[in-house]
Amino acid sequence: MLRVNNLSKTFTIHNLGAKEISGFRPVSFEVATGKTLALSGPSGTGKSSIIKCLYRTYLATSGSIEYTMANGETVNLVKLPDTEMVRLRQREIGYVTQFLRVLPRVSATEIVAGPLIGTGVSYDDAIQRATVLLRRLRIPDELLDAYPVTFSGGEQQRINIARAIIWKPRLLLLDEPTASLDKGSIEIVIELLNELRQQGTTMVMIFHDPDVMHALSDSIYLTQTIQEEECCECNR
Amino acid sequence: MLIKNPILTATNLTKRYGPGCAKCLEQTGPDYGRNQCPVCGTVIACAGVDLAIHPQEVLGVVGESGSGKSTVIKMLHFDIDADDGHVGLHTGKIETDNRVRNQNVLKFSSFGKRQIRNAVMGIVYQNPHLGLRMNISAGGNIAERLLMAGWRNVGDMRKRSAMLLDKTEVPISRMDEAPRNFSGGMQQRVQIAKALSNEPVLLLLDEVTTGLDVSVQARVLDLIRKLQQEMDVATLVVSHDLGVIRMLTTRTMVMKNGRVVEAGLTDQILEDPQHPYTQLLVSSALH
Amino acid sequence: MSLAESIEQLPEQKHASYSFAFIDEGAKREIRRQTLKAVAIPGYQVPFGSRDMPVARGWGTGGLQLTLSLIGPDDMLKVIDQGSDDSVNAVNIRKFIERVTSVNTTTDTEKASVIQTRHRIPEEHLKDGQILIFQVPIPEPLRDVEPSERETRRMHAEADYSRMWLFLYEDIVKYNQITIGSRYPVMVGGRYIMDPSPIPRWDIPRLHMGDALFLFGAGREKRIYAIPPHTTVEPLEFDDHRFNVEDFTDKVCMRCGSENTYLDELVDDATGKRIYTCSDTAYCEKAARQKGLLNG
Repeated sequence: MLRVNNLSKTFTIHNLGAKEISGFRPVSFEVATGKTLALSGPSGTGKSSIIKCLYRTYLATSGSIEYTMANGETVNLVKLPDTEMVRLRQREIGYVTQFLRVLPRVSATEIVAGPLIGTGVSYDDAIQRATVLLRRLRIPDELLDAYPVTFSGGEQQRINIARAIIWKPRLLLLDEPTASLDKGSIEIVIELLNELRQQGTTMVMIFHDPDVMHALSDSIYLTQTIQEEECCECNR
Repeated sequence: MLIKNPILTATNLTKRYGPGCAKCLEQTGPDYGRNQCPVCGTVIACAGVDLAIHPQEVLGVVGESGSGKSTVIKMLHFDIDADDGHVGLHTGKIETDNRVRNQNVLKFSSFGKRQIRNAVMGIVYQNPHLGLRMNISAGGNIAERLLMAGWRNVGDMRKRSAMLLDKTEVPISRMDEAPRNFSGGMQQRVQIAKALSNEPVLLLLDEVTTGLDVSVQARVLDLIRKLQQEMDVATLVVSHDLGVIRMLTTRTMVMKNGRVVEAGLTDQILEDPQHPYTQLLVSSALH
Repeated sequence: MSLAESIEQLPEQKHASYSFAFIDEGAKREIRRQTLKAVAIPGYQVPFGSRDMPVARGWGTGGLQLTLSLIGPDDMLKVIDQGSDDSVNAVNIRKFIERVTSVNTTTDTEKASVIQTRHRIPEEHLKDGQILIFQVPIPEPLRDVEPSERETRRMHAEADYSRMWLFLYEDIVKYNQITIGSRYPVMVGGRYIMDPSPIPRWDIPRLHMGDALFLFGAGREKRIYAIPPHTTVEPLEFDDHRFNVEDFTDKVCMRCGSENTYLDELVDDATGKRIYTCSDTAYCEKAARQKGLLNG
C-alpha cells in the first residue's frame, strides 16, 4: 500500500544565508496493506520528519511516496496536488502525535467526533460514538463536555488518540502518541490500536517504548544517524 | 469532504493603480521588495494571482499590509474592478448558471455581478462600517440581504434574522437596535449573521478579527469555525495573523508585494515554509 | 399682481409674438421626444431641459411644460389642484394656458382630453384617449434612502431596490405599519420604482392598468416620466403587511352624499364637529346635481 523510495528531506533556511540542513538519511521502505511498520533509531535520525513527509506536513526534497488509495489507484504523495492531499487526509490517512493541537472552546466529544462528521456521519451519531470511545479510554464523564485545553497532559493525549482512531483511517501515522501516558492507559491504547490493525488499518509508527513498539508492529525500519559528509554534501 | 471541482477558479487576477508600462510586472514583486513600478510609478496591488476554492473548504491568504491580499478578496466580491484576470464560477446554485458557466464573471455588468453576489456570496469586512448600515437595526441589516434575495414577508424575515443573530450569539433582544450602539465584537457578529443570511456558497472573510480584543477575537473565530462547519460553506480567509490562518484554514497562500510566493497545506506552510518570506513570517510569529 | 392679471396686461402684439402654447416649437419638440422616451420605458425618469416658465419653479412648471408641449387647438383642458378646479393655482394655470392656446376648458373630467393635476386623480374613471399630467415636486422615489443622484441612478439601472424595501421594513419594525401617507412608492411594469407624486394612497390603485396615459413632469428637478395605458403599477407591500388606502368607513360627503370618494376633513367652526366633503369638487358638484341636491 505504501512504497517509499529514496525519500529525502533537506531544509533550506534562507534567513541563515540559505543554510541547508538534512532532515534524515534517504529512506526506502514498503508497507503492505493491513501491516504495521515501526520506525526505530536514535533521536535525531529524523523519524518524526519521515512521518511528516508521509503526511505532507513536510515537503520531501527528493524521492517518492507511492500510496495505493482505496479505489486501487496509486499516487505519489510527494507530488499530489494539495486539494487531493486534503481529500486523502479527510478520507484515508490519519496522523497523531503526542501534542494535542485543538481549538479552544470545543468540547472533548466534539473534538473526537470531528473527523467522523467529516466523513459524513451524522452529528448525533458521531457524538455518541465519541462518547463510547472516550469512556473506553477512561476519560471521566464530567470531562466529556469540557474543553481539553484545560486537561492534563495524559488526558489530552487520550483525546488526541481517540480523534485519530475513531474514523478508522486506512493509513494511520503515529508519532509517539503515548509518550507520557500511564501504564494502564497505554495498555488500553495498545488494545485499541490492535483492534484497528485487525480491522485492516495500515500503520507507520514511532514508539520509544520497545514494549509498545513490539506489541504493535509487524516489522521495524531502522533509521540511521545522518553522516557528517552528507551534511557537507548538502552545504556544497 | 473536498469535491474535485472548485466552485470558484481565478486566474491571473491583476490590479494596478496608475498608468502601467511594459516594465511594471518585471520590476515589481517580492524579488525587488516593492510593488511600485520604478519606471512609471504604477502600484501593482496584485498580479498574476491564481486560486481555486473547492466546496466546503477553507482557503487562507496570508501576508503583510500591502501584500495585495485584501485586493484579491475585494476583486472576487466585485468591490474592486480587476484590470486583468478570469474568474469562473461553478456553484450549481445560480439559476442562470448556464449563462454563468465558463464565463469570466469579472466581465459581467455591475447588475450581473450584483446578482451573483446576492445569490452565492457573503462577505465580512474588517471594518464593520463597510458591511453594516450603522443606523439601521441589526435585524434590518440582515433583512436587507434577504430583501435582495426577494424575500417579501416581514414575519419570515424577522424569524430568520432572529435565528441568525442567535447563532452568532447576538442577544435577540437587541435585534431592533442599530449596530452603532454595539461593541466591536458584536458588530462583527452581526456582520457574520448578515453574510450568512442568504446561505452563501462562498464566504469571504477580510481580516475579520483585526482590531478586536484578544478574547473577543477568540470568540469570533470560534463562531466562524463553528458556523463554517455547520453550514459547509466554502470560505476564503484573508488575514495577516498566522494564528487565524492556523485555526481556520486547510490550505494557505502566502502573498508579498502583490504576488503569491507560496501555496500549500496550512500545516506545511507553518512547519516547512519554503519561501524566504514565509520562513521569516513564520519565525517572527512563533518567537 | 397675480399671474393671470399679468398675462391680461400683456400688450396684444407682444402676446402675439409668442408661439402657440407659449413654448417655442424647438423646445416643444424636445419635450415631446423625452415624453415619448418616458412612455417607451414606463416608470423611468427621463431628464429634459426644463424651460423658464412665467411661473416660479416648484409651482407646477413640469406639468405645465408637458401640457403646453402636448396640447393642440382642439383639446379640452381641465386643471385641478388637490381635486379642486377653483383653487388659485389651478385657476391661474388654466387661465395662462387658455391665454396662450385659446383652447376650451372644462371642469368636467369626462369631457376633458388633457387634465393637469396637482396631488390628485379625478374620481371619475379616465378613459382611453385622455391624458392626465401630474405636477411632481420630487421625482426620485429613492431620495429618502439615498441622497446621491449618481447612486440612485445606479440603483435604478441595476434594479437594486433593497434599500427602499429596507426603509419600509424598518417602518414596520418601528411602527408596526408603513407610515407613508402620500408619495407612496410604486413598482411600474415590474421594473422601475416610481414616485407617483404626492397623491393620496387612495389614488394609487387607479394608476394600475389604467386606460388613460399618465405623464409626470418635474420642472425644478428636470425629469419626465410616464405610465402608459395598461401598465402594471403595484404599490410596494409585504406579504404580511399589505398596502392599504385611507379608511373612510362610515364617512360620507356632506355635500353630495358620496360614500366611496376621497374625502377632505373639515372642522365646522360653528359646531366644532368634523365634517367631510369630496376632495374632487367637480365630481362632487356633478354627483349632487344628479341626486337633485343642487339646482341648475
